[in-house]
Amino acid sequence: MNPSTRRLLTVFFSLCVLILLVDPLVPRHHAVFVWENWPGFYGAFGFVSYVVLVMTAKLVLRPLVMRPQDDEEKETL
Amino acid sequence: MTSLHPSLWLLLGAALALLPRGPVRHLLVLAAPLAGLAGALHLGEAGLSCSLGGLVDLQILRPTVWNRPFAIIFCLVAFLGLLYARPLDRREEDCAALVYAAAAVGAVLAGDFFTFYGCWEMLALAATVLVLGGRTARARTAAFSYLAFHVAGGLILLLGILWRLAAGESNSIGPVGLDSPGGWLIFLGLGVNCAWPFLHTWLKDAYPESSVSGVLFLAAFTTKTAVYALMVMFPGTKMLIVIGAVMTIFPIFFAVIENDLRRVLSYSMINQVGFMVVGIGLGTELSLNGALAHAMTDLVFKGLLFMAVGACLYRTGFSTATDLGGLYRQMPVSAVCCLIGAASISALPGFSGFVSKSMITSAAGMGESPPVWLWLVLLAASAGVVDHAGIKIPFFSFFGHDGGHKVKEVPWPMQAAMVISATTCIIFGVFPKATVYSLLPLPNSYLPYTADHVLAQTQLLLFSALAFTLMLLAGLYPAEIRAKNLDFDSVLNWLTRGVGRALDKSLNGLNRMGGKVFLDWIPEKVAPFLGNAPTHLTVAALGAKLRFQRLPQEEIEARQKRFYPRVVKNALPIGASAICALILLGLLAIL
Repeated sequence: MNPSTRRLLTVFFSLCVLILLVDPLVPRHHAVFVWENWPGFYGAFGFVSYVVLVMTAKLVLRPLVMRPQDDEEKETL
Repeated sequence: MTSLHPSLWLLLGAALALLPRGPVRHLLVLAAPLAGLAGALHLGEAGLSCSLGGLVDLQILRPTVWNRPFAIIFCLVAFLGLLYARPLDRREEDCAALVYAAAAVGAVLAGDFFTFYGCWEMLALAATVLVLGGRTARARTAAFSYLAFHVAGGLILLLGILWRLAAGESNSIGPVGLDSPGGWLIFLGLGVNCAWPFLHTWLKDAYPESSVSGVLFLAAFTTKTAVYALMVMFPGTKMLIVIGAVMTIFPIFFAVIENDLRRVLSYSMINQVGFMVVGIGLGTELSLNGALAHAMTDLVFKGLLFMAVGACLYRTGFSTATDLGGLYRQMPVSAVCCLIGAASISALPGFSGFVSKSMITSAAGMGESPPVWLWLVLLAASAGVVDHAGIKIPFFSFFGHDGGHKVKEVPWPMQAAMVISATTCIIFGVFPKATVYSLLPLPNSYLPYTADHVLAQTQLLLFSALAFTLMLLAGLYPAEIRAKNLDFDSVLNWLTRGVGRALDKSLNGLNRMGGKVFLDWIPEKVAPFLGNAPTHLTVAALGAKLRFQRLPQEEIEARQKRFYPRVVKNALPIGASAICALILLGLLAIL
């Protein structure tokens, strides 16, 4: 990994930590559901749903729908 | 100027776009959407109507608080798209793009269903020309399927309109509702253009096959016109909540595994339109305002993302993740603009998507008992957008592994179009009140920039990006593969092929059977009989006479058998001949 990428990642990871630290300090005015008040809820939900969506696409959808690229040309003939 | 239709400027531009190539043509092509924009900004209350032979009253222009924002933003993106298209210098595409824009502006400004329908069909035709602009065999196939889909959708819409008129409903555009078959047909017709689930395949087939600039117009007009129509005809239709929610989620899976970045953006488009459809279905002040605001911001940031990927395609000839990468060194302006577009679509605070999408997600959490599932789906969909549009598009084109292309930055008009779009995204995001919110039709007191809201959204996006980073580092992120991914179109192909085969079996079978019966079987049986008809009749007459004499059956048949060859040879006894002649003469005398 080159140094600039490493530096970028360090900044990024620090930001993630920072926002978790700030989270409990921000008052909630617009929370509709109770879990919106839990610190880190949005981060956890974002992380989990991201992983679930991507892995579902990779492990479930791709095996079902992927075809070789020349499939289409063959089909039209 | 108040009653001058903005589409007139665009149509005039379309005619001028066919002038010989040169700087004058470029200027005129760019001036047309700007004149249209000025016209749309200064639309007064006054409309424009005419009567067709006293039979039908057409309201060609009826400015309202709902359609003015669409007309304005349509003219703006038409200008940006045409600016981007200058280096390509294609006369027929400029012409089609301006006709397309004129149709879209005409459809939203229409006051009656017939004008709306006319513009709707013009949209389909102009768009087909733009899809053909890809100039490949696949573009031709895609254009054919595009036209087939939209002609079918248009006919369903027309049927709905006529049904309603026949039922005595007003021809004036307004809330339609689903309480009559006509309403359902209109609903479905609009759904085709809105790329509803299972009706969406034309979009992801056609858009990636068009030219680098053609796609900008395709991505702008068709779906947003449908969004406008749903907004004024079916606000608060609960079914739209479910349809929209499905639209926000299912394209994400396809976008994740798709290699062609322009097809990724096409799926992403269905996802963004899904948010708007949810907003229309919720039907509250905030959600309808949100749907309209999101249509406006999406028109700019989605165009920007298509421009950025188009820039890669224009220079390298590739728009696939496997073949691109590392272009930020050679194309820094495109790369920065792409990042701004990605931040906008991901709804990062400070960018345009944030101020509009948050209105819809907030509206989804309001009311007596807000549906939890909807709120969670929209939140998960927001995380999904981060992946396919926020990260995948810029990462695989301008960053990531080096594709090894030695290219220059795109020509200045393309850069200018991207810079203006990117700046617009930031201005919309930073000054929503002065820009997007000032055009909203309903009273609006929404404040996007509250501390908890900014925190929540930033956290969601950061941790989605964190998930991407960790999966990439751990080698879990799905590798880009050169492949074709089947979608619902393969089911449609299978169905149409099945219908074709069934028709072949039934209709052609009927044809074959008819041929067999009338051309082979009947003549085969009838011809010998007709050839010997006098003989047969004579023998039958003999049989009748003998039966009259009460001879036994065997005797009759034996005599008939002996009689037959003699009749054939005309060797009849004189007596019998004489009787026959006598009967004939008698008959003649009676007659």
